[in-house]
Amino acid sequence: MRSVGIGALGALALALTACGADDPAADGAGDAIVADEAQAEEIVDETEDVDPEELGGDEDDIVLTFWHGLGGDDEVFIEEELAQRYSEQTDGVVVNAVNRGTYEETLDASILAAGTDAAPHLVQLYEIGTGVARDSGVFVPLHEADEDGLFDVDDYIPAVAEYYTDETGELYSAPWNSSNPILNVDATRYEEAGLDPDDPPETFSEVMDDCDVLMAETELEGCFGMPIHAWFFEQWVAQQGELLVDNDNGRSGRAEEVLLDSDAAVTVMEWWQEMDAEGYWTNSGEREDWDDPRTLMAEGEIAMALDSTAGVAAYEDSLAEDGRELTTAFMPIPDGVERNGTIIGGASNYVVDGHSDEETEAAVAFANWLSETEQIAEWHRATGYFPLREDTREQLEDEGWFDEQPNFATALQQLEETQVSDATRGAIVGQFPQIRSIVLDAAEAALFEGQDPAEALSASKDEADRVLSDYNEIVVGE
Amino acid sequence: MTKVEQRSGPAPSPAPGPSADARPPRRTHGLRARIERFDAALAETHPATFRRRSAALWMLLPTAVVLVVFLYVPMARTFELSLYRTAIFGQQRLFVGLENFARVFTSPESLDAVVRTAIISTLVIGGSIGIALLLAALMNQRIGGTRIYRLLLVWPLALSTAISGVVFRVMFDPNVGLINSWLEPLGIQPEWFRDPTLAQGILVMALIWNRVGFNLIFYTAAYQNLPRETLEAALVDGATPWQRFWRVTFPLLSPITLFLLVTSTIFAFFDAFAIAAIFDGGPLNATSLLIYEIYENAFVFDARGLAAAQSLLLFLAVGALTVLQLRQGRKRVVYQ
Repeated sequence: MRSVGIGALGALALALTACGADDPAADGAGDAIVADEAQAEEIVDETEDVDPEELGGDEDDIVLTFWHGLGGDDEVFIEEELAQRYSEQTDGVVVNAVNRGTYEETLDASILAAGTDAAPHLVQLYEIGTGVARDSGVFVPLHEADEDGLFDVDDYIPAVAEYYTDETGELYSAPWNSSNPILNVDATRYEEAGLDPDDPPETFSEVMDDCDVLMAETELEGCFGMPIHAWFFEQWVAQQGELLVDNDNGRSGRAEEVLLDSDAAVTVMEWWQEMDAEGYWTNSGEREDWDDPRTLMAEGEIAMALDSTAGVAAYEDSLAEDGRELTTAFMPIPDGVERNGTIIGGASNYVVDGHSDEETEAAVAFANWLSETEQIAEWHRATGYFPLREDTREQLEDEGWFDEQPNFATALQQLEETQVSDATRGAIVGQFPQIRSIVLDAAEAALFEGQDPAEALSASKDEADRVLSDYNEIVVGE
Repeated sequence: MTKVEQRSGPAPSPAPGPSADARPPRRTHGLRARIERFDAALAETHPATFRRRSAALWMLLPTAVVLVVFLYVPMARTFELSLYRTAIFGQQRLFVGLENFARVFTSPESLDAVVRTAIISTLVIGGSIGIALLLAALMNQRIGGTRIYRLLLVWPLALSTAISGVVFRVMFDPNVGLINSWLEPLGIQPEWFRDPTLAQGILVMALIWNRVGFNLIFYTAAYQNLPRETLEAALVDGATPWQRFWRVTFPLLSPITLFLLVTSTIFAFFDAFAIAAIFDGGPLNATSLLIYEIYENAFVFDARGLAAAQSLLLFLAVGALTVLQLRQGRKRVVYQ
């Protein structure tokens, strides 16, 4: 059942988003330097001469600049709800919250602006930017900036807090928006195939068994969707309790080797290849195509989709529109291993170095306010990102939120059952975006060309190690 | 109106200096002599244009400033950047001399990218010019509704390259796209974005589709300006339609063809980026044109030194290609 309509609609929607600022094509590809200079000028333009009174404060108030990388409804919520309310209720401080494009552009702009008059006070940076952010020397560790001891690492769900701690065991950046991968199941389709939607697949082989039944008993020609994205690969390595990079995932020392040839990695790639070869996994063939599983699920072409918890609401809505029902389950894991849990994705807030003590203190206070129980509960309801704190979860539970939203409960339970270890804390490594691309080179070779997964991963490991050693040479050399 | 005094004499000098007569005999070669001859010729043909050369320099100043600030300085800094290995968005760097250039010339991947770009660009340049010429020739026939055809054919030009790329990507989506739903009755469902050749085919098609309208406008205009006497003379001499096209029309269109060749080359090497970016260079780098590799290295992989070296080399290569086209063109183009 293929739909022409969705294609046309998709084209329109995408065409509109392609005009947006977050589109890489919108920037000229010319010279890096030209872009940098233009960007620097733009930054100065946007931050200079912000009048505190315009933001609802007094003339002499501190203007706290907060850069973030979220768009759409999230951006509106941050700028018009959170920042505005904080400005109104806090004496002496107004917050100027500004979207700086994508996460990557926000990181780029922050590092570029640091040390100038245009430098922001607080910036939201994505998790794979952790290595670069810490190496840049632009940010001050939260535990150093937080002289009043507002933050306590023990307030947060360990699987969240541990990602953001450094070698001191204290928080380097302030947790804020976190998500993890979850399995979305079309319960209606499951029942049609005579399967129990309340017994979703837990392991790789159970996914394939269910797919056999689904494809035999229903009209489905495929059954499982997932973007071609290295994030899932990393999750499955962690689920097996294995590391992505050496030196305890870069947690005990600088990572120097990317462990792409580990047995855990090969296991994941072999399953992925088999899912594809058997026709279970349906995909567009494009990298990082997050729309792909969502569209396939909405169109009823698959019965399971592995996606971020941030997408749960979208799945619920699209299935409900078609009179179908969604259930969610933990991410399926390789056979015969203990479930270690997932690594959180998302972002945290970093304090930028080089401001006065007074301004730094204000920045820490605002970061803390953002992650306080009340705000985090609201944030969770508005965006679907995790309620990060133990007490927030309890509050939401008491309010009956999870009874209304069982799919959010699944995600949170998966987070809480995660065994915190260096594997599930996630890797801190330079050149992370490029390493992800190199992982996908191996995936494409295995999936599209039928190359042996171990061979493909071994070639990718050599490339990733070279890239990492180039990076380390520059960063350590200084 | 005042006239310049030294109409045939040496050029006026902005600064007080020795008079022309006091100078040693002028050389007839060299830059200085050339400038003087130019000034003299200018004074001859445009006697009231500029009394002093300084006035001309002042008027050139705004353009010069723009060029220096936005072109020459960034270019010089790109060259400087190309000598470094960079990390953390170019903020930390290690001087490596010509290592980045050496890497471009020695790595097998970059050789692949050059070959790939050359093939795709040739197809795009040839295809967009050839199809535009064919359409212009057809529209020049006496058929009804030419205006409508022209409007529809030029329409894609109104879409930015990035949007053209998105439209093609969605159309060819193997699971929910238009093309595969049309192909369904035939029982074929190509995996457009998993097969390197198919993906390259889509990229070439998207680029040609986006470019044909531009080329068509120029050919249509050129057609309307063809000297009718020449064509009628050919008709009277009994030339066949084919002969009239190849021996008369095509040579008369050659100045436009040369212009389109140069602009389409620049399009295929630089503007193609927006469309290539929609395909993310995949699968297996099949749609990773040189301009996309530069973007990816600079803004995704944060290897700005390498990207700077690549962008300089691409600039030189396209510059050389353009000069070559213009030189060859000068020999073959027929100007009326």
